[in-house]
Amino acid sequence: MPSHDSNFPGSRSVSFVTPVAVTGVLGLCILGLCVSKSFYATPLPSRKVFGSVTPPTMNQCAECHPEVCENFATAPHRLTLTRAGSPEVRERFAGQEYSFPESNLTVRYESRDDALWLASAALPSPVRVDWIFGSGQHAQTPVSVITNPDGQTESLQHRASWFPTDKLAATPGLEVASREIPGLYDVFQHEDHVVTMDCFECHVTHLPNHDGRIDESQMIVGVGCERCHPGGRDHMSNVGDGPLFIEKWSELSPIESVNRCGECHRRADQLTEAELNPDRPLLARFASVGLVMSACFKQQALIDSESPSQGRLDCLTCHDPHRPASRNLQFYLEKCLECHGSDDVKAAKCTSQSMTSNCLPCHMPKQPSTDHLEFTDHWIRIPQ
Amino acid sequence: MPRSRISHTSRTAVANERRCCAACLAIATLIALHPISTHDFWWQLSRGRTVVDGTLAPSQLLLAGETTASADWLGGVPIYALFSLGGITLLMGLKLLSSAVVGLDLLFVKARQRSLATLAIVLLTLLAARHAWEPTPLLYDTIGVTLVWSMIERLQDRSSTGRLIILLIAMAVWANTSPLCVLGILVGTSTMLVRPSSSLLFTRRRSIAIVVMMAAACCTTPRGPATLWDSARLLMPMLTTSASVLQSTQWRPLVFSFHKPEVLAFVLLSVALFYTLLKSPRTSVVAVLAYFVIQLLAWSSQLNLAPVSIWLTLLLLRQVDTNQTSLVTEPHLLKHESLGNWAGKLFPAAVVLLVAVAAVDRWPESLSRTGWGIDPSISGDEFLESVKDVRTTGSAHCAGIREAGLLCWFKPEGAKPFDTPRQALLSGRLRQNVLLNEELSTGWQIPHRRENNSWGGWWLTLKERETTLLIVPSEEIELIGALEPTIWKPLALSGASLVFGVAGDPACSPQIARILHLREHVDQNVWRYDPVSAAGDESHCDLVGLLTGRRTFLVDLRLAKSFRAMRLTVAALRVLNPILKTDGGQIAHEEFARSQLELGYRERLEMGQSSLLRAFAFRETTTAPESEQLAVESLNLLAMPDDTVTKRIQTAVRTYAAGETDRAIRVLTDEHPELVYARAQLLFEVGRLGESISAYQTLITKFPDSRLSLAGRNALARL
Repeated sequence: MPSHDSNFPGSRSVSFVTPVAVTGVLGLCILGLCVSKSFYATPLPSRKVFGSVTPPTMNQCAECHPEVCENFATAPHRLTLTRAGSPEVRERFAGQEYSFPESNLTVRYESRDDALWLASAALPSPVRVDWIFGSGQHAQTPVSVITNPDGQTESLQHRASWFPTDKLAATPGLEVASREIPGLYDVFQHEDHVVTMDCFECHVTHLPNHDGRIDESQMIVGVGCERCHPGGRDHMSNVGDGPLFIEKWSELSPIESVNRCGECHRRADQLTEAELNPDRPLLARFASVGLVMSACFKQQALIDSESPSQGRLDCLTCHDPHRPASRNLQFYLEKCLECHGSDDVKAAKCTSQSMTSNCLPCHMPKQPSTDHLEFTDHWIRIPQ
Repeated sequence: MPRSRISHTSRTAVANERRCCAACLAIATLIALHPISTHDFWWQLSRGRTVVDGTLAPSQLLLAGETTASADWLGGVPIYALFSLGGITLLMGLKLLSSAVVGLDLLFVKARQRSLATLAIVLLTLLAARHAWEPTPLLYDTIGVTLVWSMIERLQDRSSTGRLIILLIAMAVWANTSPLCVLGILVGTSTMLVRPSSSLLFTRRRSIAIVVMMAAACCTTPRGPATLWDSARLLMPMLTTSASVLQSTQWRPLVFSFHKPEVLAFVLLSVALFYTLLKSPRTSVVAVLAYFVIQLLAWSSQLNLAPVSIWLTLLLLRQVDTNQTSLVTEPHLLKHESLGNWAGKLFPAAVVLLVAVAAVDRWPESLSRTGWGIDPSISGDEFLESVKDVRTTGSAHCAGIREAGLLCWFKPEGAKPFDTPRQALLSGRLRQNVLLNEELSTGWQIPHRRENNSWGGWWLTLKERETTLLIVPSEEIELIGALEPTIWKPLALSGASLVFGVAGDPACSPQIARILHLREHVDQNVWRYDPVSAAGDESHCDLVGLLTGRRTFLVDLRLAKSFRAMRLTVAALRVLNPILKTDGGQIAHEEFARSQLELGYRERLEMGQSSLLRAFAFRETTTAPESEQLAVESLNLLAMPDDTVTKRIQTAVRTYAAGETDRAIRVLTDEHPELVYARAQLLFEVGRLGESISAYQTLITKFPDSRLSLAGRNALARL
């Protein structure tokens, strides 16, 4: 009768110490790897602005890019969010009053204890203003933050905003109280946590939060370099000894480029078919939506030109995001004529007006939003 | 030895075996006698029905986003066949039969001796593998492990072509019906290596040939050779998917489920095997390796627990037998104790008792206790009600397999589920699926870039998939709450899974309108909640409730939580009231406190600060460590009235929190606006609408300058 141990070396009778020790160590390593991988695995990617790594500040970027940063310091993108306690803001708002026409309720801004406050008969006590949204180019809206039952940040958007006429008026979109019930809703629009984070997201470069509570001390306010040029940390650390890779917008396709702007200015693909109607006045507010719906944008691929930049249309064709938008109409006219006035590029010629006349009033008219605000309609089209 | 003594010993042994058999059957029955609660259930039925209707690729037909065939295409057919023939009764019979058969097989076939220790091992195994006693392919995987083990042993004892063919057919059937056929190859290999054959003909080369033939048999599926890779990925999802993605799926590592009875049972079995290997005079390297493979598979994915527990037990019983044989043939080894001698009788008896106690309790994922039928956690009655009049096309995003199954089974025409987690894992879409669920839960709608520069936000993904329905688990409170302000509107207020349709979609509009009306009714009108009977409902029978008359409140709590997530906070309190009356426990009180906090926050948004009623009701009942900070930050309590008013409100709140709202109302008089307001609120909550209106009017006329009268006017406007 054959021995039980004859066939397989692995099954022979051995002292238990060696195999147990060897396989034990091996097994525990695998098990440890498995368990530790679960515990310490990289979390799912969250929103870029919530990221755990603090991006470089504009001052750091200015060390190598002084000119562009100097220009950018006055750009609306940079100034799109301000702490309400700053002296400039308090000076602008303090003492200003506004009465809501539908309720005759008056709100008044006061500067006290290095902070800005809103007082109203609708409130049991004055409410501190925490943030001012908007650069002031079009308007500035005060916002107060509160904490919801989950401990997350929510906000009260004030129904009165400051306009360049140096007067308070109804906040665009909040002309009518959001609810028919009186009280706080007379003076504020409450924004839940999700909307609050969406609002902040487009007005900051870095928005750290702990379980939904914004960490204001670590926040980088305003749209800074990192927001449009991600990878700034790696870029900086490679200075001197590595490739200074940073994403170039010129290498993006026109739709990719516009969608980057559309992250905050709205993307066409986030609207429904019904919403994508040129007759909707609200659409003029979302320039990046109108632009990609334009024939000029859609047909740019058909343009046969030797120069890759000629005939390309995206937001950057006319706007330098590092500076305030140009007020020079001739500048925009020349942009139109690059395609429509060139013999190299076979774009249509205007048949109703001279080719030297101003294109914008007909093809990109201003659309009034409120009594104090108007937007240029970027859905470039031939008026019917 | 005298004949009478032999006869007495033999009679004792027979009696022992009978007792073991009875105990095993009784406890196996208790373990399996729970309503069907596997989330896979409706999906497997749907797959079975599709195959019976003549399709060879059920997943392709059932899912909108699936393009590849499944290897285990036949998995649903036996389940569907039994359901068609005998409904839930036959499937419950299958549960009972399978656990009993596996238990008896382990006890009487795989183990050489029947003792209390062996019985304890077998019962622990049945408990550890309890998910296998559900009508899903996991049952085939578990039975497959024991079958392959037995077949290989028989093949080793007497090698014949017939036996080999049977083994290969079994492997082919396994691959075509359930996903873990690779486990069969692992079990087969370890069996051949751990237990050397008594036949000289059974060489190593022959063993390798058998393993290769087993692998080839597994490839006889519509997926062909890819079957093995699919199976390996399902067995070890970490091979292709990161642990952070797996954490929120059915393959989450076992370390996150340590509190569950089956995990404890597995740990005990693992300790027993480790001890046996350590104490054995003949420990083979392969046995030790197999031990660690088992641990790796079990701890890396909770779905593997059932089949690998069986494998572990087979190894353990083999090792115990080997040890005992060694003690008989080599008495000098007696210094090593066998498991039975070491453990004595007390420990195994305690284990048997604990397994029996665990078996009659509620399983962690179920909403009912020992009983019969379909557990409310997968019940489809309310689901059917919500979708029966909905005629959508396109795809449905289903958060899990339960949701996909419910849609496929109850609404086979119209919108199809886009994916299931399993198909997503195999097709490399699991990460995208998990991210989508995460984005839906956090309300990340608008496209923004993620940390890795990809675009996040659910809007674009759902638009690309032409999603017309969302089906989410009713336990996902965060997700339900996040959908509330979006275009997704619920088509039902209760049920295991909630369906959401798009506002403005003509296919859903009538149902959305019906539910809007219902929302107003439960939250703003006279509505009283009638809890389900202790004995269960039409779809399930709760035997413990039937015998004791004591209810479980889990269905009610689930409803209260989903109402609160839908901002129907008054309705949530109405659901909680009967639970509080019978002392529903800490969870019910915490839910009550949470509802009070949310109502207080709403008051704060309306009038600048919360009422005393809500602030005190929250403070009196919550146990959350950060409660004081939450109360200060969310409720903005500015000033407290005098002591008399405060004390009266506190007294009322204590009675109110005990479910005695009518008694609480009697304490609240007209002396202070806080008292009148609290009375009006509680009258409204218990459905005494006329009296509530009258109390609000008193508040407005008697205390016109009070901030609470503003809330009173608003409440009257709403009524």
